[in-house]
Amino acid sequence: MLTAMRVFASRLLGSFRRRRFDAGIEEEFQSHLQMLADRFVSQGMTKAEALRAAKQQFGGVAQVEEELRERSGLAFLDSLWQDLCYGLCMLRRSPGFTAVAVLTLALGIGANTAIFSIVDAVMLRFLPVRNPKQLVLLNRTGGLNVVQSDNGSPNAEPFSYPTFEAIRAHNHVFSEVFGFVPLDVPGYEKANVNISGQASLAEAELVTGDYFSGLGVSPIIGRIIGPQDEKAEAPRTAVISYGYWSRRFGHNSAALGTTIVIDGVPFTIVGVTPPLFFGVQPGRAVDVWVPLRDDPKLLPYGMTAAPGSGDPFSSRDWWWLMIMGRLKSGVTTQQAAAQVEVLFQQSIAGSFKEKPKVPPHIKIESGQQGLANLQQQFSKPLWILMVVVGMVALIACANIAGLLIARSQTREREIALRLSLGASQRRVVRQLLTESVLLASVGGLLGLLLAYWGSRALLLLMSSGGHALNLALQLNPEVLAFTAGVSVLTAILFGLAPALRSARTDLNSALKEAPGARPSSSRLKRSRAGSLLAISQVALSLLLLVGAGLFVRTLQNLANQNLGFNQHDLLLFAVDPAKEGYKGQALIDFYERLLRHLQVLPGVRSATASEEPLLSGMQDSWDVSIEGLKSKPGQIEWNNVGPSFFETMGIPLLAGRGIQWQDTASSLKAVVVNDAFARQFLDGRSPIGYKITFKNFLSKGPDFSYEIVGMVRDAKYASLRRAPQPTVYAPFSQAPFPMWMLHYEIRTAGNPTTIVPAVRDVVHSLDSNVPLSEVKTQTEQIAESSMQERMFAQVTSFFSALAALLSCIGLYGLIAYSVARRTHELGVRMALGAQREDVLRMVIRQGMLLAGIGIIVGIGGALALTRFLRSMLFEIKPTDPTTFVGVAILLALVALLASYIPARRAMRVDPMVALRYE
Amino acid sequence: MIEVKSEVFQGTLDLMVLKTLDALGPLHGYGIARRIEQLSDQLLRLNEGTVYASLLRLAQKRWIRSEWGTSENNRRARFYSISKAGRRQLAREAQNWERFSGVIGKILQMQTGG
Repeated sequence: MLTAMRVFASRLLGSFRRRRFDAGIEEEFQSHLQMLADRFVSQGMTKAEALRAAKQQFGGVAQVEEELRERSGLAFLDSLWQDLCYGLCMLRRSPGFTAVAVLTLALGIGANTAIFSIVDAVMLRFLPVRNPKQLVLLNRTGGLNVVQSDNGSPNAEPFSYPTFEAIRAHNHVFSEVFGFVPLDVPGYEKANVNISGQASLAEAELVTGDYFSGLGVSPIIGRIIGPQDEKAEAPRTAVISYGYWSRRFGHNSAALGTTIVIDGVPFTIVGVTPPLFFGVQPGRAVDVWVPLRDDPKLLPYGMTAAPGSGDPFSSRDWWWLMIMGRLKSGVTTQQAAAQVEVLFQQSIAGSFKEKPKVPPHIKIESGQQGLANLQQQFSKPLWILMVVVGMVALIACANIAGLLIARSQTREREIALRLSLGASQRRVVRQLLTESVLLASVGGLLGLLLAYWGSRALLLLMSSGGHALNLALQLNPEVLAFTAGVSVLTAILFGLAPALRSARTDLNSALKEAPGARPSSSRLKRSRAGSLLAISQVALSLLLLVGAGLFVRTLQNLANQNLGFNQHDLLLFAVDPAKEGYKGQALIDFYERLLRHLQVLPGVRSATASEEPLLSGMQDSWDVSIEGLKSKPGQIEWNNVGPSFFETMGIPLLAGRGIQWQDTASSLKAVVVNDAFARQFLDGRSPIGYKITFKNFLSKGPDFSYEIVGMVRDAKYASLRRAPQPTVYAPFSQAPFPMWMLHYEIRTAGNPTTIVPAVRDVVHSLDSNVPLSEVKTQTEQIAESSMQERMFAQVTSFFSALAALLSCIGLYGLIAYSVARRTHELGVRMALGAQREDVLRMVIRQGMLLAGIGIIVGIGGALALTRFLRSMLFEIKPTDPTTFVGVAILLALVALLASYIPARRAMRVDPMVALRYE
Repeated sequence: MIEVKSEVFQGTLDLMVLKTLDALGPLHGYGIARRIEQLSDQLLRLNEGTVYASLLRLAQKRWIRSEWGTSENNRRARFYSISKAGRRQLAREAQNWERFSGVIGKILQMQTGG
């Protein structure tokens, strides 16, 4: 056994030391022959005789050499090496073919790798923590649902702090339980951070003591936050991420012990997390973690005070903490759910002033990938993109297979020669496949490079303006394995059929045939395979073009729809003076003072404010009832707005009055509703004079009550896709709950961005400590909210254009090849009187026939497949005839061009030259 | 005259080469061929090239080592020498060979019909 291994090792080594070995035996044999000959000479032979005798006694030198060579290495490695050298040589001999093939493959493989690396980061990767499979996420069904948002918010339902305490203290199923909550609304606001006098923004997270130990994340320097840091008397400590450490401190360990002021509260940095740890919410990279403590200045989600009831840590009504746990070994999810459910029900018993419609229950979910909101948001888009790039790769394969088949004509004689000299068919197939794998490997390497840039570009497309998608894209083993797999698979896909076909070459006819002679039966078969490849390329690219067309139309429909307000010449920005200590009436006063200043700025036609900007994905909705109406409307969308909101936004007033300066905290509580409200709840009667009320469920105060004073036309609120819902607009001075921040809308006479400096000056003059954030135009805001549609339209347009280009190259190659092959036939036809136009028409007809079949097959496929896109489309049917017909015509035109060029060449065939060729 | 050609004799040839190196110390391929020729009283005719196949087999099993040197008549040649593992193998093989040839001898001496 040991000896066998030694022999194998020695032969393996021998395969790599081929040249040295060859030179060695050559010399050794020569000196042996010489010594033998010398001996014969000394026995009386002539030199020539002696040499002949020596050779005879030695046995065939060449045979022995060959035998030794075979024995010294591993046969398959040696022939592989030969194949590789030969393949490289062949590829170098036709640089044009090689370049086209490698580029095509690089695009196909690169696109797949790019999308896969994002799929890997979003869908497949576990949190980089100890034993992630033990992690669970506490979630619930039913219960209160106060804050809703389209994106950015985590998918984990929060719990009240007393519930967390109860679970942490009394459970027997978790080895650790920990809670966490963003310090500010992710994607909406960041924390103000000040390090040695330099202010900046950072993504901050409040965590309980067992957060790091529960996840099993150890610091790369310093220490992590522990249970002792939760105590009120302990020094305030912070842990920063590796990324933040390198950005702000340049990897300097002096960061430890530095003071970092977060929203006005000083902390001491005690540790740095490992490079790959970004927190538990993929897509959101946390910069700094601080212990969760009862601190009125650092409340979750940037709240400046708990709404109504005060302390969020003792309130059982306010649910804000997300909870994860690590299962003790041997404990199942079901057992954990059962016990946590009991603790949860005990902790909420009697806390509801009004019973929720659906009673809440604990649901335990896997926490191995962290919060799954990114997956929910992107899983379908990513799979669709994966299918798209998969099709591009298929087209690339078909394209190269077509090229290889066309090329195999020139290699037919070479292969026939090798076969006739005794090469086995298997050996020839292997040789040809080696060339394919070689091509695919080079293409794959180049593809990796493309993927590196492509995936980053794609991430930018997927991130909307202020809400950057922070994903650690890495060339990890999974991604590399994927690329290698795709490369080999494509090599086999495009290489196997041509290789097998070549190996079955009919020796006799191939060797006898002069190049360019009449087609033999094997060539007819080959052109049939080429046609099939061309047809499938056209069909696949039609499929992609239809998809792209549908997405582009969706984007257009979203952009061109009637929003109900005028989106042009509007500048948006936000301020949050509450963070600087403004409270109650002082806060409202600040907001109003700022608004009055803005309204008189030169270049400003009008200005207003609202708690939520339009089409930002954010919205408020409250459980409202209408006085005097038996049926309760339920959740109604709500926005707190400033004076002249409707005038500024261009929302027409239908009845009554709008929100005005006279609506103050002390005046009659007045609201304006939209048309949909009157239509839906009042059968179209005028809503003016009706009173609406809703429960003050956060504090023990009396119910809120407002009188409807006006009605406006419907306008979109949070989402571009949703039709306007019944909506209530209340004056922000009469907002039911304290606002987090206020957004201003300024309608300008010209380009809205030109007044940004003036606006900054105004805010600065009121309070230099209050920063502006979210400065953008309404048009930019809308573009952000249609980010996903835009990305789809752009990415699928790009890939389908690429696909169409590739399939046209394929079609062109096939036609050009067939024209070259039929030169003789065309010459005969023309000699017999065919007109040049006839020849042109004949060749174009051939190309268009293939394209036509491809288009019909593609339309069939598209009709079957586009319905899977339905949920992503907007105001367009998946089988939209305009798109289908338009794409078919477009593709037909391109195919016409692809066959026209070789057809012109066919037309110019000189019958004399063509016939003399024989 | 015995011809060393068939596969059967490969192992035998390896054994002879090993023994030659054991007895005479480092030697080149030519020397080994001469020694075998001499010892077999010219009875054994072999294609001298096959010695090299044997040497390669033995080297791959690490039973012999080789290094370049200069022959007595000033030619560059590869000198082979037996390794420790080679000596052990030789001892085993020699023993096997004796037993085996004894058995063969007995069988061949059997009386017919006895």
